Amino acid sequence: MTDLKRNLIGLSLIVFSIGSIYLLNDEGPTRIFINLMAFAGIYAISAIGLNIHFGWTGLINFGHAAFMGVGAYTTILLIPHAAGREGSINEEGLPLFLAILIGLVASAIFGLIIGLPAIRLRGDYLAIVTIASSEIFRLVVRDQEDLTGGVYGVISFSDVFQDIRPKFLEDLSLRLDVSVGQLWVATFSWIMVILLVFLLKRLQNSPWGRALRAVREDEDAVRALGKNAVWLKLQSFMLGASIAGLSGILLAFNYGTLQVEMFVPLLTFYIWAIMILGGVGSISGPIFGSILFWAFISETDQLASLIFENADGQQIAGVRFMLVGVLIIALMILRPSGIMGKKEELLLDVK
Amino acid sequence: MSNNILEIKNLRKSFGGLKAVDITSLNFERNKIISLIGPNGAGKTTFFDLITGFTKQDSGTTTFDGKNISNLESFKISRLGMVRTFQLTKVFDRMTVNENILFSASSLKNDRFINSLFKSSIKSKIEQELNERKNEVLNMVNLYHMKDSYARELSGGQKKLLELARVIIQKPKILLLDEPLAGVNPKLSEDILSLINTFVKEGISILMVEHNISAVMKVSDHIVVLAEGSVIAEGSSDEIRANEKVVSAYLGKSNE
Repeated sequence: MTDLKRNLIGLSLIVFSIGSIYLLNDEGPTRIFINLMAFAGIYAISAIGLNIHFGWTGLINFGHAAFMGVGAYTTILLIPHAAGREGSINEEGLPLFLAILIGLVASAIFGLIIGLPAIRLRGDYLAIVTIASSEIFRLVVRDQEDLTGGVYGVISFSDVFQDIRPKFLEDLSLRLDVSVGQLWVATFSWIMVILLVFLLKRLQNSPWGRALRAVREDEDAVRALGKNAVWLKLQSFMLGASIAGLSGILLAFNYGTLQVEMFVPLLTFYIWAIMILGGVGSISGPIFGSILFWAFISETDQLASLIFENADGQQIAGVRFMLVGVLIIALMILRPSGIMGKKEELLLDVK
Repeated sequence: MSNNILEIKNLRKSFGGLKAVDITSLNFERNKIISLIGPNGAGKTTFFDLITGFTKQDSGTTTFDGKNISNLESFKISRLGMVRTFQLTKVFDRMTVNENILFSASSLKNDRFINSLFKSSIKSKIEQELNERKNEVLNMVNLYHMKDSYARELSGGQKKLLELARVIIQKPKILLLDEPLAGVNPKLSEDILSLINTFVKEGISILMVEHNISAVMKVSDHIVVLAEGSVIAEGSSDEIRANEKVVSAYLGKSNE
């Protein structure tokens, strides 16, 4: 299949699913659309990071949520915020972009710390270590109330981010009748997605990207040819982790609050679902996958309430995830390499 | 410079109670084709794994080109110029033939993340030069017409050739081939053997493990026979043929 055909299929799926939002919702479809785009952009960034781990390097990372969490907590705690049971206010803080930068570095270092002992492990063993590390991170954050606000979380940190929002968004939000805060998060996230695509296009067609793929294919052969497979894997781990960190930071700004329960393993598996839907190993895959995933989450809500008229919210939520499961199964049967993946590089037939 | 490319002293390795390799002294001369033969389970592949750093040795010293390489990490040994292949071909299946070889040819500096971010893409000048060398090597192993195919699409024999091309582009000092002729048809066997001869002429020493005895006898300058982890005989093909210990341990009753 050619790239053109793949792109056409992806685009038409997206047009169809976004069109459905406008068809299914009578009230405020644009608000739902902007909400969807904010989440889709943020999750796409995270899936791009995971794709570097799994799609490029073959590392099975089930602790992605923790990388997002480390970035989010580091950055948010460095800017003015309120945290903990009493909501004690901290008005001092670093400039936003410096804090974001430190957050990204912190995620990368966290990746390195997990990676150093774990990365020599292969396949499934790395998966176990990463999922355990991610739970350790979550429980430590929950426990260290003085530092992280614990179960009470962190609030009132969005101002510095909203202060840098361009003026024209305010007019736009009034005209579209959407929340200007979320419009800015969505816009910012998609700018980041575009920047990342440029970065990744460059890296994928570089000697470094080629070396990562070689590690994915056969580590022993890589070592036999004189290349340090462990260091390549660590670099991949750090880059993906810091991209996940960026996604975590934006997720916090999108919610307007930072709760440790945002970073449960379920988040990791959403990101995996997005990456697999979109096509493992491809650059645009996670982006298409993310929009589709969120459109589907949003529409199954409507569909479920159409099908089951008397169902309450909780029941609908249950049906919704059954439908998401059906979507993934259907896609895996019809297009096992995902929407944007190449059949030749299909990664799920793990030997 | 000593005339030996590789000198091994007291190399030992056991797995649990099993003594896999126990070699008191073994030297390999420069610029020769040396074959390692022996029955299955004689420790030939373990021997390769030990000297290339893929398995940790229990004790012993390995000197390669005047340097002590015992317990050095495998990729560092490879960088010094001792490059190996594997019994089961390990090509990068989901990469193209081109990428397989370019990856091997690319220098560590070229591979660096920072370099890739700011300077070298696959269109850079360094990569163009690599590309020319890669084409030469591909022509040599007769795979040029397959250059854009994914490696997984190649036949078994072509994969062997690709593996050879991938190591030879590094211009190693010594090449360790683990069963280069396994599962290869007679015509291709001839081709691979003549390639090996070309390599030696270019100044590369060859050490190979091979079960195809007639081929071994034909091309080898020197033969080492392993059984149960130890060297039971070494010498030229005529000497090995005449050696009774070898005949009973490996060749069976028939001499050919």
